[in-house]
Amino acid sequence: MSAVSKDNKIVNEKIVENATCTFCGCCCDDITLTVDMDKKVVTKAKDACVLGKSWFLNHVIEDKPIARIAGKEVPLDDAIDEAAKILIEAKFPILYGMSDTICEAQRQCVPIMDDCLGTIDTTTSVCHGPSGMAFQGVGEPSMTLGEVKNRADFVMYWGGNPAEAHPRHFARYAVTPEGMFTPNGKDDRTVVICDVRHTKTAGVADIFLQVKPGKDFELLWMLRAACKGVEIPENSKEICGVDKETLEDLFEKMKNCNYGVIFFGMGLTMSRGRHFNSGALMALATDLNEFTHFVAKPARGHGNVTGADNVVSWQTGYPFGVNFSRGHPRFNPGEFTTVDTLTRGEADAALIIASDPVANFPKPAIDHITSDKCKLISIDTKNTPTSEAAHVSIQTSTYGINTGGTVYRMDDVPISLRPAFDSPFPSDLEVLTKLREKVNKLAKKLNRPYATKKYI
Amino acid sequence: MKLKLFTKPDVPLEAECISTAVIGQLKVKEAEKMKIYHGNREANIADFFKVTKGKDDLLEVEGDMHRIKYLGANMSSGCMQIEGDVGAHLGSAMSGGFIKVNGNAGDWVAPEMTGGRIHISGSGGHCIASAYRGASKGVSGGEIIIEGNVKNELGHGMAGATMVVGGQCGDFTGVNMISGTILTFGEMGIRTGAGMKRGSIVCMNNIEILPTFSYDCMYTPIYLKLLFKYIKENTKIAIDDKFFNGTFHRWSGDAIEMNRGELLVYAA
Repeated sequence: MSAVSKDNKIVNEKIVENATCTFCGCCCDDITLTVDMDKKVVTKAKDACVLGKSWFLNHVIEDKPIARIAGKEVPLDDAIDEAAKILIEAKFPILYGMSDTICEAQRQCVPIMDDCLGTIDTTTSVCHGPSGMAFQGVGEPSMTLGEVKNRADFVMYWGGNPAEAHPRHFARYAVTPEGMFTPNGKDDRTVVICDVRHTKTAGVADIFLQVKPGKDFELLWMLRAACKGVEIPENSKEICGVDKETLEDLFEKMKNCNYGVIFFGMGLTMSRGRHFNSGALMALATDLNEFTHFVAKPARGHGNVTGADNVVSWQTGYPFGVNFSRGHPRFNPGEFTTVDTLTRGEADAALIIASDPVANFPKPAIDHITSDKCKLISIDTKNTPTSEAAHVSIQTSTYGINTGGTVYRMDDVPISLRPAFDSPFPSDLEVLTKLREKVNKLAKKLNRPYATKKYI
Repeated sequence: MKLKLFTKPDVPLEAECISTAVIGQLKVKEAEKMKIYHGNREANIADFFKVTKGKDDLLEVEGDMHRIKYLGANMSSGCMQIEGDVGAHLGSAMSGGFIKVNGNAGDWVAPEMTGGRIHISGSGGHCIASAYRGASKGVSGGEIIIEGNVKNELGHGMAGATMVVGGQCGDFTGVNMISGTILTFGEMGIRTGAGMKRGSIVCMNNIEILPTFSYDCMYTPIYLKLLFKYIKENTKIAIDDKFFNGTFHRWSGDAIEMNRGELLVYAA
């Protein structure tokens, strides 16, 4: 499709309807992209939020080598051969990341680590990992965002700031949309925000609870006790920062709504108490089902971090931090999660996919992953401190902009991608499929017991 | 039998066969050939340990073993003495016997323990005597004494064991506890006894009590005198004489569960 630009030049323009933004866990799939096919850039992203616009409009094809070994440009196949050799020779290899790539590529990662007898971990372990642990402990009172849009008349956000982290969450799913049973949008809903500080999100709140930092668990515990008929203590303000009358009013509203939902963020999962905080919140939602329909869901960050958990779960039985060194999957956060294994200096090879631990991890972990004791392999769409520090570095195309595939929205609903334009870089799927084949061949040569196992 | 570490593993080493349940029954040559797992590679005990014949009824292990996991796993009888630090999962699924560690222990000491005794002279890590993730029940018997400090989740979901900590405890001590006794002498973290159903947690220092616990009374539990006497005779934990006749505040909880657990906090 062509169009005329402002200076009357013919532009080779393409419109992509219903494109999916993979910046955050909302995975909004109603974006209309205008693409300049000559310059290979997105010029407009209609209906995208400020984060989505930044994601689409700032994407350019960089002039960089596809593959490097020790900083020198090499053919892709050589880089894959080197990566496979490092992984298969390692005694305690780890694979980390995967939250910013498609499910089809994530599928290749599990057999790679199975053949290498290594450990596979997703970025969940540093964000909603505690929620994953809590799911195991207390269960997950789950739903889809479509249900929330159509039914929820009590919406609560706890320990998160969706106004800035998931800007369209309010308008598309939870606060203002007109639903089947909430025809008047926000007028039909009670919106409650619970946080340690007054954020932009608090602006939409009917009730704002400013909990004392680190006292979320105590507040949740009091509400849980209220479900069992225990009176909220007089000194609740002293305990958690919220007075008794406010809590009693909140509890009445929770009990008497038709459909209640709590979205929770990393303010809950990454503060003191971690998985017990998430567990307490999900247990509260479960307890409230004594009175009405109540659900809870983590507000996930990266575009396909939910997909990573789903793929690793259906292939191994566990969502993250899965170890194969004894030939079968074992799950133990703290023992097999990446930050911990690197901090203790255990991993001797690391394959990092679409993630940047060198920029984000604690110093002891960075010191180890960048040392001679750990051979680092990076597969990423951009140059990052991790890809710069890597022994083997492979640059790939960007999911959702250059390549199609499947991602999971934060409510575990799979969504297809509609890419805007091609990239000279290979896709994650292409690179990981080749790496998987190479690793599998080497594993068979070594008579690794599970190298002949078939993955679906 | 005596094992002395001569090569430190560069990645985690899993050695569940270093236990009275397995090599305690073998000759030296047989023990040397037992399989252990160095990361994802099979190795033999002899690759890392010098094995010699020692006392008949004692398995002695020596060296810095902070990267060696599952020592003393599945023990049902006998005695194991460890000189040096040990890694995670010490005494995993132990049902009897005695493990003495003169050093520190890693995380996950005695998961799934049903009996036996573990005595650690140093400190321990996280999740000591704790239920594995996803399990609702942790250790169901036995005795664990740690003279130093421990981190979070001591006795998570424990159901019937006795645990003594001479130093500080982290957060969530006795969380989701079903039964048993935890006695601590140092400072406590927060949220002690959260979700406990039954059992006793005895703290010799003041603690922050969750709002779901209710105050009962102040009294002097007789059984504590016996426990203090036992600890004084068998450990190096300093026990003040005033503790023997001390009075304790009793709190009941957790109200979100059965409310039949007790927190005993030393008063005077």
